[in-house]
Amino acid sequence: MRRMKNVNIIVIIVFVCSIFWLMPLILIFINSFKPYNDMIQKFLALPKSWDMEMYIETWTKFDFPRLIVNTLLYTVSTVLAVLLLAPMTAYKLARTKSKLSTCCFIIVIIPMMVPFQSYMISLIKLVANLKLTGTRMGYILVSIGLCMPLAVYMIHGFIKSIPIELEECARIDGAGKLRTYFSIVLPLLKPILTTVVVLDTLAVWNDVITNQLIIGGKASAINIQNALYMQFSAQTSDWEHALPGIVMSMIPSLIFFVSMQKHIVGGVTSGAVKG
Amino acid sequence: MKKRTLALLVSTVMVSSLIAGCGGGDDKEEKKTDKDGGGKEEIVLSVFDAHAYGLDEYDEMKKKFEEDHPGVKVEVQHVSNDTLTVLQSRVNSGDIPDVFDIESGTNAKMYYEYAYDWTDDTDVLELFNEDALETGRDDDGKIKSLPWTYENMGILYNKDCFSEAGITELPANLEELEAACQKLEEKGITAFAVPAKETWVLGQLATHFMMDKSLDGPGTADALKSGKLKFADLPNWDNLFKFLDLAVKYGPEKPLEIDWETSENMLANGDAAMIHMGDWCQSTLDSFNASANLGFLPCPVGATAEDATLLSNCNWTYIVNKDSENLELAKEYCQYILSSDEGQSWMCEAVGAVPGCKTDKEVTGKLANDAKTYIDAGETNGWIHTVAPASYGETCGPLMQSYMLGELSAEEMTAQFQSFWTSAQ
Amino acid sequence: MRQKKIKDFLTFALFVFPTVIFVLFATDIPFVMNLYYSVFDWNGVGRSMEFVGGSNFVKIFTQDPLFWDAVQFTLKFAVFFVVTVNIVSLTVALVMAKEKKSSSIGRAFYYIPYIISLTAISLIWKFIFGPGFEALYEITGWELFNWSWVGTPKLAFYVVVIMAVWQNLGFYMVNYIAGIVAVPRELIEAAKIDGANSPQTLVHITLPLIMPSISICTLTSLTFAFKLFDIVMVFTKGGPANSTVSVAYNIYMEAFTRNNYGLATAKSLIFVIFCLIVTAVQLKVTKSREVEQ
Repeated sequence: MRRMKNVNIIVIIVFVCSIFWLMPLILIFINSFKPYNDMIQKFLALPKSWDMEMYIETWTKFDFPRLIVNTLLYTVSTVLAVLLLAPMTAYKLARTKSKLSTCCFIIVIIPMMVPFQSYMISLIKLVANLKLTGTRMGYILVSIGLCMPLAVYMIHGFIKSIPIELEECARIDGAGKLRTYFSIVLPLLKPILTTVVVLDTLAVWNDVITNQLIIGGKASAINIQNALYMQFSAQTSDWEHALPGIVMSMIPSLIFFVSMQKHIVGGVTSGAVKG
Repeated sequence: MKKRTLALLVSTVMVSSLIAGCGGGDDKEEKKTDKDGGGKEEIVLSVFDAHAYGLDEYDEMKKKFEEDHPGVKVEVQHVSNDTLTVLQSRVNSGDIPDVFDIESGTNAKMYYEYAYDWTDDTDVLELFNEDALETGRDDDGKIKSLPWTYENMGILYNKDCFSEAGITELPANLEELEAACQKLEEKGITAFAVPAKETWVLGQLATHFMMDKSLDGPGTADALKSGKLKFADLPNWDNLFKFLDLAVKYGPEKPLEIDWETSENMLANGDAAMIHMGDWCQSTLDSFNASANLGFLPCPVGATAEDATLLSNCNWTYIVNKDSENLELAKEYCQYILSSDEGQSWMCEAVGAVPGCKTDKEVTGKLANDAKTYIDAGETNGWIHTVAPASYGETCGPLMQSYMLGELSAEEMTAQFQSFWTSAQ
Repeated sequence: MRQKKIKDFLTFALFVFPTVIFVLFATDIPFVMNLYYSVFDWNGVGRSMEFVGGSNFVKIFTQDPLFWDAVQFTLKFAVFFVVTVNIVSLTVALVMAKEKKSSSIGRAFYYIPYIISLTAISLIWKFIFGPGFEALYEITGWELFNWSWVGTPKLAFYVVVIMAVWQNLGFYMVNYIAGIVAVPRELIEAAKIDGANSPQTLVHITLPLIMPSISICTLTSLTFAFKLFDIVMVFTKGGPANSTVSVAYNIYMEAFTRNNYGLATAKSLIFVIFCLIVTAVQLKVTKSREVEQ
């Protein structure tokens, strides 16, 4: 009985603590309605009025519909490419024992240890040599490459925990390699793929530095966070526009996460029942 | 069931990536045909701008230029954060902007090999003040960049706080400054809110105490770099430590947590009487409290008011890429934003600073006007920190923080300043 | 037989090469291209550079105390971060890995910092450590809230750890949940029937079975810690008094502020080799554990 109590206390603590993680959302939200001076002076207080004026101004000033379209295009294309390629690669690398396979695995994994700042100048040079600077295509290609290592690594780890017998059965039944992969392996990967999708979606959605470096000043192709970030400098900050902008940019990712995270849990249990 | 979802998934992936791929391509082609439809090919002028001030007015100014030049599109990248990094990446990738701005001095000199040489364009140079042009001169005496506005820095003080504490005469030396601090403290006003979290502010602050007025800013910096002047021998250097002690003693409880935003906010609202900053923060101060009664206090560094320093410089400078495909247009644009009527109103009214070009326009910035009285009286000096060895603020600022924390003695700090300045040669 | 080999290779190529090409393009090739500069003295901007051979490397080992301070900071940070974030997120995941409405809301809460852009997060923390702590001090009177957390070198270290754990918890939580829910329920129920209590089932059934998740999470948290940059760049700026300068930040400053691009490249090479060794060791350790199970 006492042990049960202990467990419950942990549960309660975990739930109470979750409020500390929610708090930034609330603080950003209430401060997005305040004038600059109130924000600095009375950060914790409620705003004097819930005026939507700054939201509307931000929406038009930054041409938000365009920003959303751009950011959405980048996110969707990057994530789809990762979703298609990363599990294939991870699967093959996990199931093939050869020098080539180890070699490829290392090539794909190494970037996880290299700070982006230490090679970005050469990356920009390479992109420029391929005549891709300032283009959406260039940005998407780089995004895919940057998202890939972690995605492959995570899926690779997951595949190792799946028994190989399932695939062997399929092969005995005469299924080809592609068939086996798509009809047997891929469905089993659903939980980890959900994790990867959530992770990469947010990474691309919130990206500033890569967009800044590759898209540069092309107003027609910048993403949301880059546009907002341009309002800050070492000596001025336009929070009055930035905070409403941040709130608006957060809504899609929040909705996305809430709808996806059900699958992380739900997906696996349904798979387990079948297994 | 499973198969159908799978097929659906795969086909969506394929189709969407196709669409995404083509989408990117389509967009570009669309634009091209648009322009081709106009009959003439559009010229794109690529501009890199480091400022976050008066952006709306800048945009209007840019539109006016485009209207006057049909077929020209000006593409501006505003990067006011991580400016050097982004500019450096662009230059390295061969994507050098046609016009870009950078801090004059050490930073600008790195880019002068890409810069158009204005020396022979006397008709353009005539539009600018001579001392402003000096900030764009390279080591061979050529004018490689054009000045933006004057920026002034020193101690900013809240006049209302001073009068409330009964301070009638501006402190001219550190003893008087301490007396003023005591008076302020008695009235319950925080005397100092030096943004000690910002290493760049600390770096700027220290330069007041290096100044040798007979050599002026750049001259002092050169003498320090070459070792002709030694930090330990500087007449006012010891006062820097007294000043920092005062800033801690009469400052906020957690001095190293004060960033520029908090510091400016405290000053504007009368919560603090003095900060170290420059007139570039005018717009921020205005948005905090437009009616704040503020002014410049030349930094008391020595024994008399004559020693006190207010530093004034054309800090930002515009470079035209000499290899630009549209060199003439780039030159015209650079000249346009820096000296045309529209450019003057951008600088004088939107930014509120005194421009480097000759102008009759009224300057809106209160602090800039306040500084102007000192400039006109010839009491200001040039900046040191912009002509100091690269990364001066980032390297020496933390040393000053260590001193304020009591981790480094005055002698140790001086020695480390010395070795940074002379070894950087 | 040979035909089969070719066919095998072709399938392998189809599955693996597209990814390899993307990764080569976006990271590996630029990194290798960059190494070229490590034997030059170059300011990162100009057209001319001077060949200096190995002197950049000599400089790092003999005249760069700040870099070694940064290495020390990063290692200390890595230890604190990896341990804390994994323990906390595993605990949270164990509680939240249930198909309940409340858990689903809780999970979303923990993930929020991951969704918000870092500029906004640094704003929030500035005020938590400022007015937020002031208010807490007035209410509780605890000296803890009166300390200058961001302004004291020793405490600033914990500020960075706390912020990093707080921000990344959601990611590791989701990873652990994915592992936990894959543990067959029958096993746990069988253990319960055999009379095992909750802690016992946790230690003897759940933990061994989620070893793959644990190894993924330790490795990713380790690489995150080694690459720590954003929080330092946006929030502490390496201060106060250089007490929170991470290796990535030191390299960044060397390249873009001190204008020693060649030196910065040499540093990144040294550091990446070091990281590779550490991660190789980590992989060996966790792999042997996984096999044992």
